[in-house]
Amino acid sequence: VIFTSARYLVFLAAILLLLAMVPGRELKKRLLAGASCLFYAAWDWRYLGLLLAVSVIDYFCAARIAANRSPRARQSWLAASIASNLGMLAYFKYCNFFVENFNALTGIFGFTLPHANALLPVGISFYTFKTMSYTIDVYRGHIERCRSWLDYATFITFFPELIAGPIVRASVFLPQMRRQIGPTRERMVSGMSLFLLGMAKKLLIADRMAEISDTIFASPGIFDTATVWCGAAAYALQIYCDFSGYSDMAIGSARMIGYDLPENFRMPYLSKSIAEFWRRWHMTLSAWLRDYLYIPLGGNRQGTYLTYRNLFLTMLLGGLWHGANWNFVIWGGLHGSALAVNKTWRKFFARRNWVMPAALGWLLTLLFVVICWVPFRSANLGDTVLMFKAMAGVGAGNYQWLPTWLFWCLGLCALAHWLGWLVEKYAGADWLKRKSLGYLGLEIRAHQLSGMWLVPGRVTVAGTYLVALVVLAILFFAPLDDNPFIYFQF
Amino acid sequence: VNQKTTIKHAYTAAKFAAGMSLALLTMNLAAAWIYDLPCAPSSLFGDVHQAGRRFHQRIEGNGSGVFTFNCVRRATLPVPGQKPVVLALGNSYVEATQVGDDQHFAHLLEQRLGGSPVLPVGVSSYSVADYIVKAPAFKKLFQPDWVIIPVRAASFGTNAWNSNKGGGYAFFTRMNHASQTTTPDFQLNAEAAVADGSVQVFSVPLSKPGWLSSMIRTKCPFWYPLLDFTYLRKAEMEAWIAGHDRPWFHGAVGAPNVDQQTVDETKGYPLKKEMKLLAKAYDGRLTLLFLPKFDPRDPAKEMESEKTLHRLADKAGVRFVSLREKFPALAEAGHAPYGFGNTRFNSGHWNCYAHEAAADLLFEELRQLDSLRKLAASIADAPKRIDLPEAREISVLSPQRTEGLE
Repeated sequence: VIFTSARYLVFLAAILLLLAMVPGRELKKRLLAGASCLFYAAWDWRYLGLLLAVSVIDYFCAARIAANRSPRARQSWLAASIASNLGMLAYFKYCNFFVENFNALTGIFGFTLPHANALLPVGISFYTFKTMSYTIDVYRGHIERCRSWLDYATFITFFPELIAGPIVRASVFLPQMRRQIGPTRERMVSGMSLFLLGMAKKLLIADRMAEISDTIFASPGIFDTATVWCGAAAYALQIYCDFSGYSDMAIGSARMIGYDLPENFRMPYLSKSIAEFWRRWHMTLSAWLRDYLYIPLGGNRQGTYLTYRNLFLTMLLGGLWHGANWNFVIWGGLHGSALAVNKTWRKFFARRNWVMPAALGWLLTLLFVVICWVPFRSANLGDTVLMFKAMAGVGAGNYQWLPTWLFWCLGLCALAHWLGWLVEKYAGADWLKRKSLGYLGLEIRAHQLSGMWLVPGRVTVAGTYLVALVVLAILFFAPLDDNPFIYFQF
Repeated sequence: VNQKTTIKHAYTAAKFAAGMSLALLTMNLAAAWIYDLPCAPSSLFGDVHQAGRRFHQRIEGNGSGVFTFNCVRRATLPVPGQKPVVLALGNSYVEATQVGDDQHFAHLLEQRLGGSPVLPVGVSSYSVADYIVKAPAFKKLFQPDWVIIPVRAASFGTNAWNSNKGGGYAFFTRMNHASQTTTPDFQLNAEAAVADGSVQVFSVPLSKPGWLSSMIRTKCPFWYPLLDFTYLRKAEMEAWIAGHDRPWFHGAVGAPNVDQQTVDETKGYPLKKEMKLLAKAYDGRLTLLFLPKFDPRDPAKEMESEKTLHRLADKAGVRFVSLREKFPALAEAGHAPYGFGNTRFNSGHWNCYAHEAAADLLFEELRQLDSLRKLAASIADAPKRIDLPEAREISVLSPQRTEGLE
């Protein structure tokens, strides 16, 4: 299941080979659905039934919504769909969280509830959001209901994005099922380039940073202030390279198979405000929360204070979506508050014709985001407090450890972001396309869904050199441990 | 048209090959910068560092230095006849490729002693079995007045009883029928085997390097770092695959324990017999420097294995000091004795802070030995460092100390 493992590479190669060999669109879709089920069953076959049950329930509910004209009946079927999804999420993900907090309150009276003995089904947060968006969109009339359960099941179980997104909506995926799938030369080249990029992010940076952040976050009370800041910075780098690397590999895999998935990250650490950060970070989740939570809550149409409330609530629930832990609630609350402050700030200074310098905005945003990763990564509230205290220089331990890998990786990421910024800014410029990238044999490939990325267009010495160097660097410097992707646990 | 197409394909292939070659060249340069530990086989020590060539490695720590023919980690050999000679014998902790020559505890100890030579002889993975079986050769070769051996719990336990380390190493085995029949099928060096009751030490002769290995070492000096790195990675991968019994998917990231595991690695082994054999091998002229695990929250905490080994050493007449004595001071200064900036905190080999602490500790130990008149010559009478010869006079390649041995 881990995209960087040899098993996944063999699995993907086998699927691509079969897709290339098997004739007919329907047969290919069946093959894909079967492969996706196998992929999921490799984790725990018992939960495959749950995944298929979700697809059956929502397929049926959406069919009933589409078939009924009565608003009340349509609402009832929508409510049934949402209740089944949220109920399942509540049981598997939040039940023990609720029990723990309930027991903490009632324990003094000697009344406690037993814990639920259930394993968190992998990818549950992602596929429930995916399937809920389908029934809601059918209810709203944004899309037509899917007429084939096989198509719908393929959409729900599609293995590249099943475990940790990007959260693909039915309106994006289902229309693609009408076209021919399977690997083509163009798709293979562009998919593989994205996959390789994601693999390099994960293995060369994220896994190295994990060694640092895991060590520091495991014992926050013993390290001095500088070391604790290094831990926070390492985690900021780790989570970005881990999750965006995973997304690149997912989009790359899907592209090779024949589907286009939406982009999930657009250099978020270049953001100059927290609002911009959320337009660049986990873009599919932000868009989902906006369309299915923030706007239904009233969005910004009900006055200033209700807008702030809506922002705060959306982010709070977004935090809770990540995991059943108060730390995620704090993380979401901090981001929600920051978005509200950002809105106030912009209004206040817009009236006075003052705009914050870009560099200052970038620095403040980055600092805030790094600080917010502390509760996100800490094991519990106690560790969060210890980390914050140590970062503030209060009650820090005295062990010093300045991990050199952090500085190498920070440099590498800064360079990559700078190059990415150049490509983004001068994408249309002739000098960039023909000269700079032309020498490397690279071409800018822009897709309305998958965003912009570089693809080897033809064989050049410089291009081959770059690709071979990345592959060799992965072979020589990647840690051997199978570090699962962070977002797999959500 | 065909000819044009062929030329076009050949041109593309040439560009591809050029790009690949350039990438390999870059990686070779990177590997050489990160890791260059040229090896050469030695009949006594096994596959060890090539004499006279400066090594460096930046995988764990950032060390650079030179070894002599006799596997001594120093650039020059002392003048023969200088007394007292202290032999610091050990495994990768004495080899200490993670630190520079001037950070090595033997160098620091020699500085503190003022002139008495300290010869650090370290071979990775050596254990008590090796120290015992090779004692006659070491004594003849280095003529030490006193021997210091840094040991960990595994040096007496798991590492000393590991029969799969291959040529150049020794291991303990129990003298019963079952263990005899399960002994690996390599030729046992009967001469080097030492028996004491039910415990026996076997030394495995060094196998001749294969043609590929010899060719790489002799004919490909430029590509050696990359090939060596590849070999290191291959070994690492094989070990990982062998020990990889985890399920296909595992969801949660396990947090490492910076306090290190406190498994007693000596449990179940006949430590008393091992200690007696060790004491006998060096005629009791031996100090064990114990390297305990470090608990950042309770640096003074004594491990079970340490207590056991201390007790047994006292009984066998072997002197015993523990680096733990210096742990509170290290903790006070904010340093863990193990781990480096490019590895994990408090994990792996000892760093320069621990080397310095060890030098202080061993200096105190040697002064005590001196006052007890246990050394052949007093430290105070040793000629000062100014008398040491230039590198040219007695170079790392000088064979005089090995004369007669080989």
